Amino acid sequence: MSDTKKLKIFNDPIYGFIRIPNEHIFNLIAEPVFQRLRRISQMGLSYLVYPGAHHTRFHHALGSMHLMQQAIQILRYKDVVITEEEANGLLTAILLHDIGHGPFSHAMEHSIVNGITHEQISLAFMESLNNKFNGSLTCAIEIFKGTYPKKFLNQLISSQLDMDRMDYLKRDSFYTGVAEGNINAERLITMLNVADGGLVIEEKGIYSIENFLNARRLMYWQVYLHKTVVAAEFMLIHTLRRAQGTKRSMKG
Amino acid sequence: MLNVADGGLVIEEKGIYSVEKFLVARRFMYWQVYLHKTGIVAEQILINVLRRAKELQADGLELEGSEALLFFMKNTIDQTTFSDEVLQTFSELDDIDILSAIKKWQYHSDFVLSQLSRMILHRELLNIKIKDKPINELKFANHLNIIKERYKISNHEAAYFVFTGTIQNRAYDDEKENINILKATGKIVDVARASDHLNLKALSQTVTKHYICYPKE
Repeated sequence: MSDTKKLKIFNDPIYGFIRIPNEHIFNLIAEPVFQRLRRISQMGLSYLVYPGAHHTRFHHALGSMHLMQQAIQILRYKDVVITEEEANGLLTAILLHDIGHGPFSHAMEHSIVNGITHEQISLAFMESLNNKFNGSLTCAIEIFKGTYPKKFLNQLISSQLDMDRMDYLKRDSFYTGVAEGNINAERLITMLNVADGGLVIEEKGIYSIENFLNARRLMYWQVYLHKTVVAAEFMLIHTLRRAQGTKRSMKG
Repeated sequence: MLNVADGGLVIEEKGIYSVEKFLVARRFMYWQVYLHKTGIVAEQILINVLRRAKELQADGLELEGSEALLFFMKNTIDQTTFSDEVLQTFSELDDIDILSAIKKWQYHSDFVLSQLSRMILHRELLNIKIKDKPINELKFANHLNIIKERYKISNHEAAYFVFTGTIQNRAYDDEKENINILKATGKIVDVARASDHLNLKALSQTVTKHYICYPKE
């Protein structure tokens, strides 16, 4: 197979074309554990209220990776040093950050497994892939765990303003049709910088941040915590509890 | 731009460019999306999964799946047997029945069924080549032989992995259900005739393409 065959692009309704940056990422996407995300809904039962909300964790992982590509480019343009290994680690970590989610994740975190978070399962998947791919995910795992020396790399994956949140807000608002939840990810990313080793937003980006926080709050009350969705999720949790055995059930 | 003239739906004359654009967009969507080669191959694999499942069922092999799905695997339903009861069973089917069955079948002892199921779940699809001319029979036989040898399976079984077919589309069918333009004079004209867009007549031609599918190396 020639190399050009691996330079596939995805057509995303939000960003347009999403490039796969390199063969390593391509091979991770091709893994059955990643392909499984095509069958895991991003918003669980929310489609019972918002009929368009049928997007999957597969969409979101690719979208977050796309935003990460942009963030790397912007930071490098501002003379922040990100080595090739670190860039690849960032892209890998963001691509796999949600791979530990199970079906109807938030509803099921208490029924399928106990006392283990999806982040811990994501890490377990990454470590298993690291064995399969001869240690090429080591840097990604350190960034994901926050043990890598450069703090801002972890902040791009997991902080109050990371690529994960930017993509899911934008995506969930798009697919639900809740237009007020939309954010200007491109502008936020353009305002990113690094100071004292930490991720910062330049002053002129402050109104975009305000808007981001407002949009996030709105999405929580209007969409994620919509009463009908909450009821549906509890019914699902109770169904599973009942299936597991009557003794443990119905304690809220 | 819609109107009714002589009891039939028409488009008023000034809407003709929108109709042209609609027809070109439709042609684009067919070739780029609905008939996308990867979509074709995935659909054909799914058809073959169900065909194989039915075949195994007929041979008396165990098959897991929801009751509604197994009903349709066991029985051949046509217009004469589609009763109210069958309608009720049919209404219990959705995508989830098929996907959960395929998730079971990926571990079935039958090589063809498990392999095809896994191809869909893992998105490890067959190769597909699209040609303007019919697929050369020697080439087809060659691919079939390679697969027979590689998997040590019969001709019949190999045909689940190596097969040919055609796809076709006609952007505008000028023979039935025409799109009619209502001229300012009150005359009704077929859009292909009313349009000065040279391509519109070409769009009335049926385009046929041929494909062959076979497993990747």
